[in-house]
Amino acid sequence: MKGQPVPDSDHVARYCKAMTVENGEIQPTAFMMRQTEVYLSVNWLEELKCPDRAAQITELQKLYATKLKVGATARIAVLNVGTLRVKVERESPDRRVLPILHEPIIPDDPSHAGIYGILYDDREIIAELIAQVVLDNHPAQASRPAA
Amino acid sequence: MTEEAQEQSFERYWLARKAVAAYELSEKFEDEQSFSTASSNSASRVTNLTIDPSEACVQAVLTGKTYIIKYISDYAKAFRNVPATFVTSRTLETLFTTGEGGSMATQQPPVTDKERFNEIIRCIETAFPVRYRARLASRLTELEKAVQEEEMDGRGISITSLHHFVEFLKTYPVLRCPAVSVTPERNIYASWKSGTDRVFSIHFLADGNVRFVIFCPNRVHPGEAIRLSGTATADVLMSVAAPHGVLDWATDERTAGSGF
Repeated sequence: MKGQPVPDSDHVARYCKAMTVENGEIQPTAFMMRQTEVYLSVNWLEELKCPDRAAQITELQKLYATKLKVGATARIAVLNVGTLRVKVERESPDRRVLPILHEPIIPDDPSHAGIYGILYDDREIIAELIAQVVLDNHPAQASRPAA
Repeated sequence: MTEEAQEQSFERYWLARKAVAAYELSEKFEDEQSFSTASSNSASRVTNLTIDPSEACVQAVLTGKTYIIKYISDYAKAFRNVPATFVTSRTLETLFTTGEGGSMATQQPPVTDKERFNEIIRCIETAFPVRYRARLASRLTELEKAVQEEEMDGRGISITSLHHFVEFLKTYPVLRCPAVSVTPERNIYASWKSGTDRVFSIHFLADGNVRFVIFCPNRVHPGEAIRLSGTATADVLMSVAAPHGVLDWATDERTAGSGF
């Protein structure tokens, strides 16, 4: 449902372009927004209704392939919602609270969600904090089956 | 030869050597290690260095051999400091018009961003610290390709941001090679980190300003960290950052302690 808060126990994934990844490590630039954006786009993993993390990642890889030109070294960052929110609230200079809300795009991207509260003018420090709580990361491009 | 004269001779040798190396004609020179410790005797091998605006070339005569090198705009800075007495044709100002930032030549501006990017990469490959020049050049080339592929319009990294980043590294050679990535505005973002409580990151904006983030341990309260961010001009950034101890983790161990 649009606007529904994603529970702290759940997880979101962020598509990280190749230009924000160095040697497989996701850099803070992956969590920076453009000036025209009002939230940071993510996907609510539990909303994908897949049995496990591997299936969720496969589903996202398929989704990205239809929407984006996926770079060979692009990654998917997985974040726990509660950990992310607590990290930023405790460590940002102004104790920033980041609402993470469901923003479904029907019919193409129903698990789409947004991290709100990141201001363009202080995006660097918030991006640094988010980058420190990446739970795990995966290739954004599905591996091709061996010939 | 006085110490000052030795120093000047060595500078001339170094400048000529960089120019020659730009076109991969350097195989007759000493290897990099001996070059870095070359004495004034090596400098005496420079017998002539001329800059000819009409030909847009630099001519260096070293050890009896003449090298003609086509003018490369990004080398303007390298040659900017050549003593006037060493320029036998016209003054350096005739050849190079200093633009914003004080180092880019504008008389023969590169036609495309791609050419400007390639010039900057050449500069890194030849004039940057040996310990990371290849890695940095390779990383930036990889990023340029990634940006062009991912951003659909074919354009690459912001050249002005890249230029300011490179100038910053040139100014502070004591810094180790940072992690480099690109922001949504295609600006360079450089980070030096050691764990989660030692972070020094710089966002090089296209206008020459920087936005920075510093995380450092709170020395009075162990286990706590100080976190700050802000905006500055690149030339004063290190004077803002150094008191927070960023040089403890942003420099190589063997060069740490070099003063700011």
